[in-house]
Amino acid sequence: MARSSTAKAVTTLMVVAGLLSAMASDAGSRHLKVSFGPGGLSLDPVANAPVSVICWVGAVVALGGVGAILASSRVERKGGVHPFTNAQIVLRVAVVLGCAGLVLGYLIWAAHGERLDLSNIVVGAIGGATPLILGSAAGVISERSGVINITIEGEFLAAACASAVVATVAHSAWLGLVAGIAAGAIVGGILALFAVRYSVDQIVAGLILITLITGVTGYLFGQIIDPNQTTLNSPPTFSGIAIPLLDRLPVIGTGIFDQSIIFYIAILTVVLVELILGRTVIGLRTRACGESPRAALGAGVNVRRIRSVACMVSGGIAGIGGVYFTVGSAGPFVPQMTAGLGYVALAAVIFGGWRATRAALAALLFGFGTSLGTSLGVLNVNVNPELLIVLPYLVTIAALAGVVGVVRPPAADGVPLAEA
Amino acid sequence: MPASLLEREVVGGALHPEAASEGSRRLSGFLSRLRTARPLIVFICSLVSGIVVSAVIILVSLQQSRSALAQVFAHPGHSLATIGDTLGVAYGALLSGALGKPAAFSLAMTHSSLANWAQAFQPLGATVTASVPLAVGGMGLAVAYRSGVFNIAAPAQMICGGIAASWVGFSFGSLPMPIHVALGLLAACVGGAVGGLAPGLLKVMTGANEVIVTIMLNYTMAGVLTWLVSDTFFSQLAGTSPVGRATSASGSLPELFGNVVGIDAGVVVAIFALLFGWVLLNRSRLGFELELVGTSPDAARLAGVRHGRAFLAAFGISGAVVGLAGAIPVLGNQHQLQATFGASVGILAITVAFVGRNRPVGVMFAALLYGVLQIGGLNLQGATGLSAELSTVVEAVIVLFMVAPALVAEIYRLKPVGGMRLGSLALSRGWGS
Repeated sequence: MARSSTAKAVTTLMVVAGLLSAMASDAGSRHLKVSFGPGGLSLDPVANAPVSVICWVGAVVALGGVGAILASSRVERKGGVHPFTNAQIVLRVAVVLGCAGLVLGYLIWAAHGERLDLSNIVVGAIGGATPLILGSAAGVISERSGVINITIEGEFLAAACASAVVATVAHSAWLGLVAGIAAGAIVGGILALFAVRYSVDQIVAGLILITLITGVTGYLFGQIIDPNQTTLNSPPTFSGIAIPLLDRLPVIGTGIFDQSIIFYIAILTVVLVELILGRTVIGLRTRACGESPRAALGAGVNVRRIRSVACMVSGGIAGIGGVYFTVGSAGPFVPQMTAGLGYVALAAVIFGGWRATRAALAALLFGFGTSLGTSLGVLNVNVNPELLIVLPYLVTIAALAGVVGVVRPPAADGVPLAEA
Repeated sequence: MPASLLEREVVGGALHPEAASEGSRRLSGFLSRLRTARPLIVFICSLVSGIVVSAVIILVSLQQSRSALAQVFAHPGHSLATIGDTLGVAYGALLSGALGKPAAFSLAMTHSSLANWAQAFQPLGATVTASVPLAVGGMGLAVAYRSGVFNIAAPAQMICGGIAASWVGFSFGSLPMPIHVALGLLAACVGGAVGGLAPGLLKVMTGANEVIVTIMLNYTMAGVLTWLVSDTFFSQLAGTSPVGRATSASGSLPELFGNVVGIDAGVVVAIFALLFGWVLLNRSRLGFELELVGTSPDAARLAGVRHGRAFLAAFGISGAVVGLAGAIPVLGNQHQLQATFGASVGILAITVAFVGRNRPVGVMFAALLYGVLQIGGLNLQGATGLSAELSTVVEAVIVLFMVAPALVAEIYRLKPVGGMRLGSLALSRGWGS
């Protein structure tokens, strides 16, 4: 770690953060009081509590965090796995706190005069992140086996449609979940057919599959579902599950511990994926297919079969994510309701360096970006609501631009196995 | 085992050359060449697959044909007649909606009047008008794909071009028409080029993968368009839905052939775009470099072609042409920006480029085919009540088969031909350099 460059970066950021918080504390009429309301921690407008202190604290922690990002990125560049020293762990915690502080500072500034309920923001962020977490787990599985799964968007859509219809017809949300998983796995199987068996360019095949699924679901909706909304598109939804004691934690309590069951499934899935990929023989073989398929072939691994199975499993997991859009939250299916979140999940995979837990954290970040748009809309910020909708997509672009060079894809990702 | 008389003669001719006639030798050679997986054969087979899939969907979706299918073994003659009827009505509606009714043409020929001819040509005009942005957009995208650039931002670039053209169109009220139109088209090229250079620069400077960045750009620009058309000076409320301000008369693309055929000067723009693409890719040094980068980045590097520069050139040119495609509806038949402009046309242009195998001639025919499917699909909806999304499904099936020649070869028992990869589409190389 070159100290001089880190120091330079930190100093630059100090200046920037100082400017930012000066801007935030400019209008001295913004006074806030921190209080415990019904939803947990909230900020009420009250006299005599200058905002600038909070903003300054946030900014200082933020710059520490950003500096840590820059510092820790140099560790990544060397490749391989380094056991983390205590300093590095502290730096990484500072990263999280720092970014949180920066965003909190901005929210405080944006909420001038209004009541800002932080727990609502957390609930919205986790809700928005749930399909992204599942989508990123799906992406990690298939990409680590060597198949680029752009079709996550299509798997979301297919699963959302299938689960809504099946759940309505069978009057059971759980059957809807099963149907969604099956739909996603089928799409994954079709992708495997084209990408693994016929060696079609995986990005091309994936994009065309998404177009096909959009068309098929749109046709089914227009033809069958829309005229019969009550019999085919009114699914029972999963009710939230609250973990008794933990959900009374301030701020994060309702967000994390009182969520749809799909969120808990998502967390479990991420843990399972990380464990299976990292610590089992089958996981090792899968990773080998993604890094060096020729070597795996030589070691007796059936690369094509593992890639196909990985595609289908990936599709099934993305299917769970797709179920969240309908049966897991609001209910009825609407054409194209996924709004590009499948691609955002793929960006989370990249941002997380193709590792399940880090991709899930990245998904959380993007989910926060999604809900931030809604929160800012509620706050009557002076930005047009239509522009707020594009916030998650801009966050994705910024994240992708910032992280490349720091992360490395599996070596054989996207390259079909060409056999003689 | 030779099955037919012809095959017996052919095989016999192969074993005893002097015994086979000249004609059967020629025929066997032609037939065997026909059964290879050449691009044209793959295209025809993909088309056949699309027709089969659409037939299945139509038959399953309509009540009378469903019952006919159920009884096909009990009352074969009647069921087959019903099935044939249903398909006939459906495909008849598709073709007449896209190309015109023969009755209307005969009426125009017997009672020749401007109104009758306009009536007869109206579907064909609509088809050509729908195909024009697909052809121009497909050509722009073909340039990008040949260079190995995954430009998925066709909707975004069309929106950028459309916004720029619309602004020129309604801002200047009294310029002479050719200048006004030319300015509008030029503005569209600039707007589209900006929309293409943005992800290109991002990739060159930061390495951000262009596939996801361009897809995100699509959603971003869709939101920007909605905002522009609702809340800014672009907006002009028409009833309940927001639309953009109308292009002034001097800025609109003029109608061709009077008002009879129903096509506008967009066709001229399309022809120029296709010619430009052909000249660029086949006769210019830049095109050669782009194609070299697309086929083998290593060879390009050894030949001294700077990858970043070629990449940016490909993105910029592609964006400019796609932006031009976006201008044509705005300056032409739609006369204004709609809030949902660009989304479906952009994605369709991508598939048109794939189906046309990134060649100007292919793109032209693919655009016409997809124009037929789009306009015909609307008429199909009117005639049979089936959702117009059916044409989307058929379009996707066709392109799916087109990009997988190996699959087509397997289904239709074609012999593989050298270079069974996608030809001029980028070879599969994952997340790119």
